[in-house]
Amino acid sequence: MKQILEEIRPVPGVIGGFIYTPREGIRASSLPTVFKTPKLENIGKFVARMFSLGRTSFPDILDLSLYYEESLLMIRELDHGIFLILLGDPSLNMNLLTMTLNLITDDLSQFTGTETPESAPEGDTTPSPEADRALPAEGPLADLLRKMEKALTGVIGPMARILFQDAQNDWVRQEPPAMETLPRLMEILQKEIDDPEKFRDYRKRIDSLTGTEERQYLWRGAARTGGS
Amino acid sequence: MSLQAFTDRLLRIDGVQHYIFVRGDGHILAHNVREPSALSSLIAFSGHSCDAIRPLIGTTGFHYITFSCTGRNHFYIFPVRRHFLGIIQHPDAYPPDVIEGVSRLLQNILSRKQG
Repeated sequence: MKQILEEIRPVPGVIGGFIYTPREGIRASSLPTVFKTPKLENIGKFVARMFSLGRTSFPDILDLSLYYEESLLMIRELDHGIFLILLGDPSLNMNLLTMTLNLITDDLSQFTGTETPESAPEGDTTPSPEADRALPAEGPLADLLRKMEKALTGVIGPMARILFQDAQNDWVRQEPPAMETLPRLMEILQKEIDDPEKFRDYRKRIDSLTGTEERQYLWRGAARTGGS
Repeated sequence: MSLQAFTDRLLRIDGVQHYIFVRGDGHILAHNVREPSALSSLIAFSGHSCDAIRPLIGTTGFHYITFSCTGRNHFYIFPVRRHFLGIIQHPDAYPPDVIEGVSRLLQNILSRKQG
């Protein structure tokens, strides 16, 4: 990872960069030491969310670039969930940088064999643990999740879509998605909302959208999460 | 300038195929896109994220965001005071021309308002 950053550094206008994954945080950095890890993690979190949200409308996104007065950020997903984030100054030659990145990512995919169907061992049909944990598209759980997202939109507006998606992803990583594990999703959402009053409002909105049985599943964890 | 006049001027810029104009909270004010609700969330979230990143990298003014797509229908987000403008370019357009055309129109409008 460090080598990728070293290869990009000579491109005129590049100040440095870092590699971020939502699961592991900062994997490598070539930025000046003034850019501390928590700062980089914050930046990584924002751009990774922008990237994944952008992909829902534009599935063929290659790069994301943020242009500011004195600097710019360029972000590319090297592999699933691995983001290369570069900081440059206004003199940065974007064409040269894009060309360099294309060469590096080509080399990287040849080296790792990532995302190429040919690299999968023949006859290996063992599903990944996450494939087992896919969210249902239909049924009572899917209906309830839709209601929960709708209720959240009423509380925090259009950002609800992103926050709910993130919370759902965390939930699926931690627990098998089922009615029985919904209290864990509520705990994650409570933490993400991070405002007791808004969370109370959220609960009220959910209650008005759901039936008694659904509410029983949802609020079973309320006692340990401090809800009423 | 009325909203209608603004969107008419936008569509006269070479390479502008679609637009969506939203308030800071994501509320849609005008658009000519197929799925405006998904885009409005993306625009509001990205716009606010760029503002939040600004102090983290120690820079000032946020100019615009580009989502570069392999199909060349790049997507841009421009801040317009407390609103955001999303633009989808025509795949045959030259990106710097689209960005310059939209930036010039926005500067023109904002400087008129200040004057």
